[in-house]
Amino acid sequence: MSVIEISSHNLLRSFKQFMTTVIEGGLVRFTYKGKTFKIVEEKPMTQGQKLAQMIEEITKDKPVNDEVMEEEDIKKLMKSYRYE
Amino acid sequence: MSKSLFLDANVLYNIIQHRPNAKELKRVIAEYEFIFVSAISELFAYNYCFYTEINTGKKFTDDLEKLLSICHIIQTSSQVTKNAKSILKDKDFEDAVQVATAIHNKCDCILTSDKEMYENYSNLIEIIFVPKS
Repeated sequence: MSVIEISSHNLLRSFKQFMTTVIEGGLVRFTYKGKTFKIVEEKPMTQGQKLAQMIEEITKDKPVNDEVMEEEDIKKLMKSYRYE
Repeated sequence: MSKSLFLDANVLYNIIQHRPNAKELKRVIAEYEFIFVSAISELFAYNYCFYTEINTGKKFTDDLEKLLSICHIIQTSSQVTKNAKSILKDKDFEDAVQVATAIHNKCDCILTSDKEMYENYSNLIEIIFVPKS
């Protein structure tokens, strides 16, 4: 992987070069006022990644529920109780 | 290559309840580009949530809505029901309908916590089985 280090001094001069590096999957580090930033291409999240993120959000404050429940009981709860 | 994953109804249930396997289910889901849920699972999951809310006082439907808002909900049809009848093994017709729905909609894989579904239908479509605990 190619790596480019840029600073505010060579930002404009090297803009095309560092964007090409990012597009090709390389790493660009930008230093400004003593801090270093990493510039990477932002890729859209897949549906699976979005759902995983949502799962993380809705479970983070819930304790793990390890109450034992058989598959049959779950199915009864999910579909059969109306007809009992 | 894009990959699509079909969630069995019990996956929704296990996530909403934060069962011990929820973390593993999340890990598998994150690997897929497209996520499908059948309208039957949607109905069952709502049934389950309303029933559990009445009995426990805890709120579950909001979480279910959040999950479903991200998934593709797919309908069944009389053709899918006929297909389910032809592949049915054992006595759980709903499992057969879920599998037939996934196949009809060209999903690559099914995610389930139901061992019977895994054992009965893995010869028809790839099924990832994540046990409840």
